[in-house]
Amino acid sequence: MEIIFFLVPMALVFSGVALGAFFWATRNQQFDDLEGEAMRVLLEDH
Amino acid sequence: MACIWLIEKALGGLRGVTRARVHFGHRRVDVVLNGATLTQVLERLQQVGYGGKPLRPEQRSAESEDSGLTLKLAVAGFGAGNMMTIAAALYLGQFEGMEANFSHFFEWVSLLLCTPVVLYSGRPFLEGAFRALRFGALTMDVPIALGLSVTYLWSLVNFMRGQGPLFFDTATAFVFVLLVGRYLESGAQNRAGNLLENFLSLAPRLAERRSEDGFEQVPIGELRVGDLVRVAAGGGIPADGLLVEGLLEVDESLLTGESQSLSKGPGSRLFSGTRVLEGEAVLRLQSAPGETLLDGIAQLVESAQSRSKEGVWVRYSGVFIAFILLASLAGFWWWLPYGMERAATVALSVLIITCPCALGLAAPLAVWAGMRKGLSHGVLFRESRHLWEAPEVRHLLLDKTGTLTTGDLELNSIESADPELTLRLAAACEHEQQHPLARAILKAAAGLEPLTVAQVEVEPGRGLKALWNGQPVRVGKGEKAGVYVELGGRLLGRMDFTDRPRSEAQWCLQALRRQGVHLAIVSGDAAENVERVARALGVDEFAADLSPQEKHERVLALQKYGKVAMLGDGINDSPALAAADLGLAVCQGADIAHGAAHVVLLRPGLEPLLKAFETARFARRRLRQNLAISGVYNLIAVPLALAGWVTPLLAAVAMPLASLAVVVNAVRRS
Repeated sequence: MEIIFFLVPMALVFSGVALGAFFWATRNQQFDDLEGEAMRVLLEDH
Repeated sequence: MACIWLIEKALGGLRGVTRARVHFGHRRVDVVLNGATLTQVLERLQQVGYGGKPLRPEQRSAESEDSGLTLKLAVAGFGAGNMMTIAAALYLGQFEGMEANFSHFFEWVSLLLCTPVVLYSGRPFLEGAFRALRFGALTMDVPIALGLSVTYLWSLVNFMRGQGPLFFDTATAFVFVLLVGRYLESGAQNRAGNLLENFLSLAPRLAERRSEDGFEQVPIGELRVGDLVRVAAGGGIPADGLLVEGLLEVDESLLTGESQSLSKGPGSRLFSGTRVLEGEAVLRLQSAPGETLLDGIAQLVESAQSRSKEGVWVRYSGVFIAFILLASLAGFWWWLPYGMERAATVALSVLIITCPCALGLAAPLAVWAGMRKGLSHGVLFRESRHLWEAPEVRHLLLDKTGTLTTGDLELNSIESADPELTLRLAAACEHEQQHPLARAILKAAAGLEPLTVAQVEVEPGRGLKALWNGQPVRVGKGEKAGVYVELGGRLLGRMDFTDRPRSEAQWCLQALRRQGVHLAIVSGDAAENVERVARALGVDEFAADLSPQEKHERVLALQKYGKVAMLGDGINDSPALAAADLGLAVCQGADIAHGAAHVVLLRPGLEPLLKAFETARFARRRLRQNLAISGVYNLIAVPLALAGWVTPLLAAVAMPLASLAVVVNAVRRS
């Protein structure tokens, strides 16, 4: 069962990465404007 | 969506602006300046039709509070989720036996998971408690922070010395559940706020204003009262006004809540935020943008929301919290002879099991559920105490004009040797006028061939004079609600007007009467009009010719016999509304925000009145249910915890069940 010593930290690291990604997205205002960005594709580049 | 493009383009083109980015959801634009001044930016925005408004501090703090809460919840969820598997392993290990190196490893992982949850996610509670104690107050945060820090620190000490129980799982679950409760609460509140912003975005940004040479496009910020504006199918009404020419089909579902198309002809009122479905028309503005009915409603809702928000956690009495602390202390003292560890476990269990305190949430959540339900029916309770007053009301005084009746006058009869000429002359003179009598006259004369009069002059306070075929004509307001017409210095005829009761008035009043509310009409109008309406609606008690002061006195007199509610129009009836136990006003303009009414009916008609009472009873029912749930829970749980039959982990699992039951009871739809 010594594999536990490797698997548990591994699981924590993976979910920690996901948590980090969520932090990054929130801090970068990825969830701030859920409507406007979809419309931006229709606009001319500028 | 063109607005994003327009603003970014306009600002991006400005010299000294490096970057402009519109945040559509927050109605905000972020600008990076490089030499340009704020004034230039605001002027440019004004040019394309957007006014800059100072960002209210509470608005920004609400935004950052939201994202902060989300992140804290994410960390707590991450911790609690992983902790659950670890804790399960540890507990099973206790029964089945586990090698020491495994259990020690799992304890390390628990510490690792628990620490960020307590220090980061739990920080609002710790800080809140610290702030409260510094000001000598007891808020809900105090027992939470106490339970949390004792659980964590004690476990930490036990972990270091390698013996004694560990409660890392308890602390983690505790924080997670508390945050879920807080998140539900703030999320639901914000949804209501966003609904409002969507309303406001319905008003168009540009309008076609009549100028000397035809119509020109102007930003609505430049519109003034009295401007003539053209509206057409597919567009919105820029500001409240009267339709002058043309026919429209409009959708006023925003204001009335009923999605149906309404026909509007000359003389009809149009409201900002409603949509034109068909037709084209010109309207004369009666209020500038920013002062419309819609803006008034928005202001009201906003202020009521900010008031209800502050109350939810803070206002709860310190008595109950003091009781929790004392009970936990008593448990500690009682169990002390059996050893420090036993005593501390009991004290912790008591602290945790009562914590987020279903009882503390019961009242605020019932208020919040009531206010939300009211709002969805077009009823705005300005403060929570008005919710509790409403079911107690025994007497309801009703104003007549504009509340029981539509407020639109109709021609009743003409008393003259030549009724048709009287009407046609009056219509010719009043052609350009705006007041309700003129509208009624024009409506009545709609089918008749128009006459032409010359030199129409308004004599303020007296009426109009003009020339017709060389003879002087005078149209003036007579006694009571009548209009007289003079031709060549001799009386030609008299017209008198009435207003009709609203179609739904009868059944609404009947429903109220069945609920045991005693009804009476108090009006400033002439006795015969009041009597006619009262008879039509089956109301036995009425009083006419009352001044606002007299209405006020009537309210005071009735209060000897029970709680009195008054339904009136927001401004004229202010004294009576303020004096009543429950003052209800029909929202008619932006000035309502400063009115004296306790409850504002945001939609026309009498149905919201019924809904107001219904909502109040609903809120009271929810309050009783919530109190029952939490009361029963605490009555069972606290003695059990004091008896030492509840471990802290069990407490941490049972506690959320009770408070979630209260939250769910408040949030669920009826």
